[in-house]
Amino acid sequence: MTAAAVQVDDLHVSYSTSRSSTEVVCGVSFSIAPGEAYGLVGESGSGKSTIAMALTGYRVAGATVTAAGLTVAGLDVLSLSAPELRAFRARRIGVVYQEPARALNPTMAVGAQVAEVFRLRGDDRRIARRETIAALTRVGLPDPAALSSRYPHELSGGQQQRVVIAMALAVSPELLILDEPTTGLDARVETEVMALIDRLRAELGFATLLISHNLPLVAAHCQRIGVLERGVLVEHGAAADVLLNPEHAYSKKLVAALPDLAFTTPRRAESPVRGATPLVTVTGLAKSYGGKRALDDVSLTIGRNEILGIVGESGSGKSTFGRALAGLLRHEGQVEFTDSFERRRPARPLVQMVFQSPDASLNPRRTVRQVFSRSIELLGGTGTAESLAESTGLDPALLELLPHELSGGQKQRVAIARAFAGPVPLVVCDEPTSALDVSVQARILDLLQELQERTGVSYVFISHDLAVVRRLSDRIGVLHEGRLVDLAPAEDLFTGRVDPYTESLIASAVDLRARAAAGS
Amino acid sequence: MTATIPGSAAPAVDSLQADASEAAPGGSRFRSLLRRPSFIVSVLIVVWWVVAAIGWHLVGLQPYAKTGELLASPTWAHPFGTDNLGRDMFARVVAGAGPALLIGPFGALLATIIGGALGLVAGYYRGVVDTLMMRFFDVLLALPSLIFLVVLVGAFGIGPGALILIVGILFAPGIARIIRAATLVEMGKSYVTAAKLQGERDVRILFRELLPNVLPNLVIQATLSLAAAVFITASLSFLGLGSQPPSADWGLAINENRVYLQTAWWTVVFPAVGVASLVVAANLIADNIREVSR
Amino acid sequence: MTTTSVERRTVLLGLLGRRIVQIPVVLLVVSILTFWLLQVVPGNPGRNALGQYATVAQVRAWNHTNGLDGSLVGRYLHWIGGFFAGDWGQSLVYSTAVKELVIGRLGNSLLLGLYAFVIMVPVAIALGSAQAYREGRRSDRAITVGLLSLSAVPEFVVGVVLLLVFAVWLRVVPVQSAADASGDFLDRLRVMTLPAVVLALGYLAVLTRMVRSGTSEAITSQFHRTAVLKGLSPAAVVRRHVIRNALVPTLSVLGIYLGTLLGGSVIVETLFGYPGLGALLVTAAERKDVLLLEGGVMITGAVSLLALLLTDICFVLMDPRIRFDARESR
Repeated sequence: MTAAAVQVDDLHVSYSTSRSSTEVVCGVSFSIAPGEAYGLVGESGSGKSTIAMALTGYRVAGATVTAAGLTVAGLDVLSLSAPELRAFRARRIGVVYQEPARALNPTMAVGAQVAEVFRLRGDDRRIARRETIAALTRVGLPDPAALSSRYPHELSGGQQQRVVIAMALAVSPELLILDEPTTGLDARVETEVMALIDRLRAELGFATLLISHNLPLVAAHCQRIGVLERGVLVEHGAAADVLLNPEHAYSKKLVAALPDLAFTTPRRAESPVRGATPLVTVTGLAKSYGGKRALDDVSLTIGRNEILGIVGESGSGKSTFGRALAGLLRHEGQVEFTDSFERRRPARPLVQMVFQSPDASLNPRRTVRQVFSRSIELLGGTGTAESLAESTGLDPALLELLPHELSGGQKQRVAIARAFAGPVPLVVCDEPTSALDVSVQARILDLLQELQERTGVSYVFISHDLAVVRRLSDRIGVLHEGRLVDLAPAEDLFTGRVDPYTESLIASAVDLRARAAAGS
Repeated sequence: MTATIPGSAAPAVDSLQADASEAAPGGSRFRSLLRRPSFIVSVLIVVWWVVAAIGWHLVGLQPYAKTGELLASPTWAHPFGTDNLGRDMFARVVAGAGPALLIGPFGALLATIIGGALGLVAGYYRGVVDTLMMRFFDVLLALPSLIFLVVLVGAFGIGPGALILIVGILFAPGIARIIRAATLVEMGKSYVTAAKLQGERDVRILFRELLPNVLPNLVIQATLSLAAAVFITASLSFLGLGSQPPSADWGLAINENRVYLQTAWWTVVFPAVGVASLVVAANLIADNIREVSR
Repeated sequence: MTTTSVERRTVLLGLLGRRIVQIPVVLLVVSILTFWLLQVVPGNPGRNALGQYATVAQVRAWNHTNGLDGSLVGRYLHWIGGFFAGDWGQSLVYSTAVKELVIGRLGNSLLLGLYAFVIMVPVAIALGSAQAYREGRRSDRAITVGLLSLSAVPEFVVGVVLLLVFAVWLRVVPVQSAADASGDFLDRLRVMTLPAVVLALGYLAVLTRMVRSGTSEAITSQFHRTAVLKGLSPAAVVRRHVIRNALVPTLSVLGIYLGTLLGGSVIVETLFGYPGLGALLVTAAERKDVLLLEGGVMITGAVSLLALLLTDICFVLMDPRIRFDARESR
């Protein structure tokens, strides 16, 4: 215990404005041994990033940091003078940030940004350049000499994060702080980046503090984890214990909310007629943006009453597919509905969508009631705003409110209700839960499932998260670079013969959970 | 305040009930405006000049008659002194609000309507028309506005009607560009997509979904245009291209009297205070609205 | 290293090529528009020039000798042909060659505009960045309101006040600023200081605001935090990570202002009796001196478009992300 990499005792952080003061970190204590991997889990607003910044001595305007002890790499962070603090940051710690694209200076070549760290150590220009190339090589970047003169926007997200890691590890720190290092990266890139960090930790022996909202990720890569709820450390212990036997109510909620591959009960298969009669037939659907193929010759049918899951990484064309189905963009190929729907009179919309961001999907100037009334009118519904609210689990008192007065989950409920205001045969859900906190996600998925069972609509459910898709879908289609590489009933996809790409996708999802459960 | 916004007339196309509830965020914004001293003072100044412009002849002011000594310095009888023709400067400065507010509000209104409509339509429909229009505006805005001012003055002359038209044409492209940009931001949000998917008509999307969300921008632009229009008309008068003698126009007065700057500063300074207070007040109103609508 | 520098050279050359095509096209459109607009409201230049006592025949003859009769298209083609051949026609008001008149005045305007620009930019950068570092404090708001008020006041009002203070009471500069060709350079500069300051004040507020928001964006950015957490000294953070990023958004405004300033300002020129291009153009517009107006508009337009080209080049050099087509389609 004498030479802990991090020793935090009773840390308090509060933000104050001229009017009020809110405490975001309330008496947190933990320690990290040299070379240990420690993880902090919490939802947005739990204070986890604030703790990371406190460890670096970084002062956010208006923040007050107090602690009985805050020692990092043997130094009392709170009592360091400005030059000491700079030396501490330059030599003892490294930080990897959430969005590498924004953490790197857009107008400076990446090599120069890494070299800065060596120059700070006192290396001359030539040595700094040599060391930079060595550092870039170490994080597995191809052709580091050429890459070092590139600018951040010329690199992929994974490459950018590797540059940030190279920068953070340049001068062998004793502690590496990872603040949501893979949020926003695709699952496969996430696996690669985390594997790189694990390997470097084994080689170089630094301690890590991994901060994330993603419990399985933290559990898979840390020996011990702490769970934060609103600035309070509610539980901590060995990774596998917390994941498998959570004790605190909040941790239990987090674990229960996980749409985890290993824990999910797959969608019941008791209604074999489901999806038997076709609703939509898609043939040769294709779309190009500026010569680049976003969607390439996709053909499939969507059955009545069926939930079709579509999975893919960013840029796979899954959103383009959804928008083409909804008739929002010009495309090649056909999207045909069954005759009975095409001939409906009066003509009503055939497709509704539920979007990712609940903030953007509601007009900030219209009350919930206005949205509902107009939607019922346009979609030819028979209910009232009140009945619509009730059917989607919204308190009718919320009808008179404007979107900014609602929580994220409530907004998404309003957006879902809007799609169900009238008899619509197909609803496209484009990542409907990925902007929500984990505990809210589960309830929104329940709502979607319940509505589907009650109304018998068909869903096209688009997501990057295999676990979420598996939980809801009858069949799953996998999109890769615009092509439909796999399309199979949900259970077959995980057990049967699949495309190598799908296999790697499943592997990176299963891997994480399996390793977490095994207790690394 | 909102009553003077040209855009608010637009939803009348669609004859549905006025939504009291839509005023809610506007209401809280309005309250936070009322807490800002510079906003209150600016509004009072503008109101004062509007009252002066309309009501000066009702209270017996005589801006055109010789009522005292030539170039007399300020006294109780003539608080702002007199000019080279012995006319009371106080009466002239108060009456000068008339010509200053003749062109500005109408020109700004015209510019806001044209620019707002073009911007909304260009941002909503995109396509070729949008591209051509924006390229054209880019060119116009890249060139100094002086060029257009002189060309338009050369074309239409300097009567009040012509000046209103000129101000409208001069400011519309800038407003159109800002409103188009704001519309594009809104178009990127999925509530517009949702409305389209529900089969909502274009007119309704434009005026019920988009317009309320770009309205703060439009109000700011209208107010800024008002200030700029007063600025430009006063400048034209200063150059002898606007009001003609014996008008009490502030710009004209400054030009006529600046030869007496050394001997009778009051003949120049008070009209200058008139222009400056009106333009600065309108600008500060726009700035305050921008601050609270962020 | 090689790939990126080649790419950037290509971008730069593409930009130059595009502008070299674009500038003449824009000027052509502007000249046609001007020519056409001046015919919208009837008015007879011959009658204007000769006065109400001239006979109809005299007016017609005068119009003919000045190339002002015939169809609009024919006259335009005649003029534009002459313009490219170097013959810009005769000014109706001044009865001298348009070319000499415009070029002579242009020199004066360029000098004054450049002077104003040189005064304005450092002040705006200093004030704007100072504001960004104290964002939200009372002094920040005070500078904003102060500058806004200052630039909202018409130039002739500011000019009059400054004249009153510096020329009448303090007597450090003359009341009239007519450029005296015989005076030495420093003398000329002293004379031009007041007009240049007045000119600069008009644009200072917007420019300062741009610098403020650019700086504020840079210092609240995540890469700024990265730089601080690297352990760089505050000076190094500013030098290497703030300046360039803060100034990029300001550039576009700078280009437009440079063009506008160089093209001359009517008010300041009239107020200070400075013989620049702006006052000339206003006279031409007022008196419907078509050829003089056309010549002046073409030159002012060319100057401001060249200023824009200059800023575009600066853009490419300062910001590696720039793709000029993307910026233009905004």
